[in-house]
Amino acid sequence: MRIPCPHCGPRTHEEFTYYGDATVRRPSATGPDAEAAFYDYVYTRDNPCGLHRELWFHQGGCHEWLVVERDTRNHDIKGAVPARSVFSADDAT
Amino acid sequence: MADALHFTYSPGRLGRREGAPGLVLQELTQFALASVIARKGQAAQAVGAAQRAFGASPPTTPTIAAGSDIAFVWSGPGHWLALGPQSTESFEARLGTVFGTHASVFDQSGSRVLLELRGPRVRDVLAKGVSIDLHPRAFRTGDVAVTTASHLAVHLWQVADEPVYRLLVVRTWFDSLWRWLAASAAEYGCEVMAPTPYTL
Ligand SMILES: [Zn+2]
Repeated sequence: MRIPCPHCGPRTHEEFTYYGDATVRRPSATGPDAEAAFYDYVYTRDNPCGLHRELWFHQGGCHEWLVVERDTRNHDIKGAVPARSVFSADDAT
Repeated sequence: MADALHFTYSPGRLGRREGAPGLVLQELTQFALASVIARKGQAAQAVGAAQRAFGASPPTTPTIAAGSDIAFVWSGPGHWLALGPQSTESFEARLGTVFGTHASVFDQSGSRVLLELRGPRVRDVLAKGVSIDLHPRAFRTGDVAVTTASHLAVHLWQVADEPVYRLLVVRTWFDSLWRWLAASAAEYGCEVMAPTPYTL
């Protein structure tokens, strides 16, 4: 399995560490349902069949976080973008 | 046959003794090294400041850029290693003055071992532990890779078309890297040269 790092180019997945679902967002720590929301955020994960957006850290390369789109059925990698581009867009909204 | 040269950097012939060596290895010493990391949103200003002061623009792609007495090795977005010959002047202070508030500069001198690798089988040797494509269609003079060699994090770059490569590795990992490199080069024969002072 090769991941196309947008900074380094295509690299073996062994250079990366997997950090799970890239679509979940940290809940507010001050909301009335904070405890339940954090339980859900930390422990509850779907097990999707098909395309999945997930976080990978390029620790054997540029030390950047990526959002990788992977098909969980066959490990087909559709693409990878810098996580900062995804999350800074979140911050702006 | 057990060969003491396999276990430590020591000038001489290693592995196959017949014919010309497939790999020629030389440690480059007496260099100053610092990490330069642009502060948030300041990468363009950091690049501009270096360009004006050193005549070398820290690269925004995985390449190396050299001025008259300093080279910037790409290390990640907004992140570089600065390399230069050792001098009595503080490398960190010199860089810090130029980058000001645009980047954080940390002295790394002494933390790495720098090797130069050449010879007709150099790519075959590297292929045993480096997973990236070093064929000239994919990797050329001036290109840099932050990658792993025998599972150890390294900076690798090409300095001549011959080809000639330089490999920078954390000093405390060097023994481990050396065992892999020596074992990988043995079948081709390897000439280990006496260490020489770094030049750009
Ligand atoms: Zn990368």
